[in-house]
Amino acid sequence: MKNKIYDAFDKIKADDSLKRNTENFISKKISNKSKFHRRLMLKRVLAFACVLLILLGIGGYKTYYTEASTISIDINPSIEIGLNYFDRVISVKGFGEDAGNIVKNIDIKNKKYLDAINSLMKAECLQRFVSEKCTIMFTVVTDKNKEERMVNNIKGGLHYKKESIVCYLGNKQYVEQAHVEGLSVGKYRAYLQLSKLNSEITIDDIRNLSMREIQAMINSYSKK
Amino acid sequence: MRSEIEAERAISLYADTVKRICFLYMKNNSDTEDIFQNVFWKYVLHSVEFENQEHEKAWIIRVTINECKNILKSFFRTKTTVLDEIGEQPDIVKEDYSYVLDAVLGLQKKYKDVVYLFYYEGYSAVEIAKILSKNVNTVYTLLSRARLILKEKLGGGIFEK
Repeated sequence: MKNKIYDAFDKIKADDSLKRNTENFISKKISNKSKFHRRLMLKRVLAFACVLLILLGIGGYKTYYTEASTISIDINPSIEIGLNYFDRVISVKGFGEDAGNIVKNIDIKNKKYLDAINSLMKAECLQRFVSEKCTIMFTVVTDKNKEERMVNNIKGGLHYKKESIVCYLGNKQYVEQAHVEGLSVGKYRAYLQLSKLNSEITIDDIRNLSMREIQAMINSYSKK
Repeated sequence: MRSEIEAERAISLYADTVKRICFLYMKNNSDTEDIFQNVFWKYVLHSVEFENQEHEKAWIIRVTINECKNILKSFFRTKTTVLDEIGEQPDIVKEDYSYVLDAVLGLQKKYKDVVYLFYYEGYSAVEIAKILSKNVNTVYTLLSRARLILKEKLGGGIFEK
């Protein structure tokens, strides 16, 4: 419906400068918002990259220092080496005073386990415990798919008399139990084997015995 | 967020409508320019799709009216007087109809939008009620009263061509 009110208002128009100013204002705002968003996105990407690098670094560090396998070397003394996923030594534990002294005087960390064990066996501080008749017992605790290879490597790769080397496989759950009792996993495994043959034997009975002595007890009870 | 091209399209379609609503409320060009910028920036940021052009226009009208009211309500505005308001007259209208515009502008605030939306934009009372978020009966009442006031001031002829 056209009327005078319509005609009056119809004369009112937005002039070109008003429209142009508004367009320029909008264009600037859109451009600033895009720049802001780009800067924000860049900051977010950089922050994410930093966090990722840190996590990878932490993750890498953690992975390297996560114990994946344990090899117990028992003569008397008992020494346990912890290996990471790359089969490198990340921890060395000595059980008992003698073992503790040996561990203090050797540096086998970060070595591959065979090199580490060979270095250990050659160490002067260990030599006085090693005799012609002694038995060196290795107990390997690792993933099922690595057990055979590790045992074969130890038997075939050591620069030592093969007839004195005995290898056993150990159970991962025994590692913690052994440490609670203050024993290496190898000696603990031997104790478990002995206690099955004679339930009266306690951990303290065998704590200071050599592996040769423990093995002799096992042999003796087995014959009965 | 809408693009620059969409903003330019909206400005070319609705600039006159926004200007007219500003004319009802504002008395100076700088406020009108502020409202223009606010209304079309809100349009750019409004991400919801409009059903059609009528829906879009109704949205622009509603936002413009709200922007005008916000500026009038602002603390700065109520406590100060804009210098360029004094003596500024809208010189964009030919003399023929200035008396009509004066009469409409002289109405109370509550009548101005309904008169403009009904007599210029051609919206029905129901549509006006939706745009202004008012009760339909209220709109009818406002229109009827505004009509009486304008008839008294200008004679009955203003509602006829």
